[in-house]
Amino acid sequence: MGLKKATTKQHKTDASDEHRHDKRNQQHLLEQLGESYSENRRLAALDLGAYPEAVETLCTQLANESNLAVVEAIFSSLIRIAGTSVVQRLLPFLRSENAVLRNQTVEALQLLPDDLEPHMEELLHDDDADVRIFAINIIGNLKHSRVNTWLNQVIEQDINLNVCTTAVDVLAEVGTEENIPALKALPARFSNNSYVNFAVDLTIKRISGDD
Amino acid sequence: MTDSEQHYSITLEEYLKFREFYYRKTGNFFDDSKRYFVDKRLHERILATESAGFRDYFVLLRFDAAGKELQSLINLMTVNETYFYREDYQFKCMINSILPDLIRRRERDEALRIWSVPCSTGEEAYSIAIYLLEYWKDIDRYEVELSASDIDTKVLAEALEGEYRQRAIAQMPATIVNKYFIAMGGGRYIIKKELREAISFSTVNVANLIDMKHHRDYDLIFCRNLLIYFDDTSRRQVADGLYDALRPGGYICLGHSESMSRITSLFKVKKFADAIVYQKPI
Amino acid sequence: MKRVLIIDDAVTVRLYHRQILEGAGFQVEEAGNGYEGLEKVLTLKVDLLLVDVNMPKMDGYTFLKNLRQDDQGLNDIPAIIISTESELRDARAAYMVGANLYLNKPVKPFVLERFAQLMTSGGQT
Repeated sequence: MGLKKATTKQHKTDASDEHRHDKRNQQHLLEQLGESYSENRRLAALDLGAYPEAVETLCTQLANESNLAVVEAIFSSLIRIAGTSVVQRLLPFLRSENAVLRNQTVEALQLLPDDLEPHMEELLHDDDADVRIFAINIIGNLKHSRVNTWLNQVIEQDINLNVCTTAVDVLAEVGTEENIPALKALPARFSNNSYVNFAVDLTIKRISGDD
Repeated sequence: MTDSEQHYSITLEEYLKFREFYYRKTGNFFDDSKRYFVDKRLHERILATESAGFRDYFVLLRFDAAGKELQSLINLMTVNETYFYREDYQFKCMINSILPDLIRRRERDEALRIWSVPCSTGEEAYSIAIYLLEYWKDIDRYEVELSASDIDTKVLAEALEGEYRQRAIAQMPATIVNKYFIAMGGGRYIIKKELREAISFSTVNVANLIDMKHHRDYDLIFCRNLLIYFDDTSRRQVADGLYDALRPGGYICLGHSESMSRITSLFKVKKFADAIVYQKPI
Repeated sequence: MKRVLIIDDAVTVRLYHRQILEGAGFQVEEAGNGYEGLEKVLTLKVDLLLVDVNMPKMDGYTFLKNLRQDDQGLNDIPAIIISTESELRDARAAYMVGANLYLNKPVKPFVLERFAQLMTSGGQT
């Protein structure tokens, strides 16, 4: 007993380690995705990240998967695959009843900014206030020249208080002078609600950087 | 006045803005007492990136492709030294809580497998070995396999050599040093052959999926001060790999100022007397 | 002094609620998401939780579910879920995971104060 030296598995890349983009391997993984043992589903989900054709199946599995480790693996793979079809298939999950799916979708979309960008306007005008809130949180992480303009539009036009204050919160980090007039005008839009006032004051201070 | 002598002061609001950004990204919160520490390092990066001031720098920080500047900043904010018995409260936790729990739940007489990654020049792995031999009363009853890996072959070679200077061993009691090292004179110490031969060293790139497939069935992983250096996307992938490298019920320890809270919620948070660690669900 | 842990990813929300609660005599701690919330309740004595729903890494419902299953003595900390979702089904979902109260954002200061006092006025368990 005591310390025993582990047998070092010499790592040589051989044919079985390479990702073989052949239909048989993908088919095997897709089947494994439906197994009852969650560890197997998870490993299959992770390996399917090499197969863009698997997006559809991965998203269908997402809607029905109850094990968190498998859910995270599916999102990891979708992020790796990336692309417009991933974003398109993920967007509906923003409306899911399932809080885990909603929030992990937001996180995944944050890592796919270029593919998401064409959808931003639409999301910012969605009927569902919570979807607009998600969009604003994602915006905060976009490296896009229109971000400050978009956020201005929200503060000037959105009728929902929580949507507007989410934009204010994001502006505390990303705001510039261009946002200050709209920020100053916001409290009046919501009858000087104390939270709106607080958030606007804080954000203006952070933007101007004054002590 | 040269650039390096210029006194650049960051306003309170700028500090608060930066602090919140850093907290959001890393889970690390600088309280007010850290103001000087943070300002000084921000100033350093502002100069290094030739930014006009904090405002410019903050834009760079947020917009920098692949988060490279954030990585440089995190590097600066984190104390990087490695030495024997560093953050040894986790080794105490290993002895007092983790190993007993692993033993209690074992179904078979398998070896307990521990992984130190990144192992750098080996101080962590050898510290684990010494702790097990010195303080674990059950070390003779169970088999323990200690593995240690790093991406950098140069530091691995140094780890295999096992030669250290006074500074690295300063935290260890003299009795331990005498027992496990040979003093070579000139402030150099070499760790005894039995320990060097007891650990399995290997190269690994934790961000490489195929590399990580060769690492499975660990009961305990020490992954200290590595995850913070990756950007959001890579970090996720590395965390996936570490999760899959563990047996169900296995444990992972991160660095003192690190948290899984900005990385993944897969691990269960476990509080033990000596430390908070993370466990792969059983 | 009773301690409240505010779990929300929005800094202005955390600071706003902090201001109200500190003004009412509470000690306040913050967490940026549900997972960090779990880490904090394990290290600090918390008398009341204020929990947002939508957050990265771990949402408020999942946080509460985990908390209520806790076997390390923490499962009955009073919790107020504060959310933008205002439909009845969301309140029901909150109670099903073990919230003691469900409030819509933004919460009126005097309402938060009052509920915080009520929910922390019980004796030590």
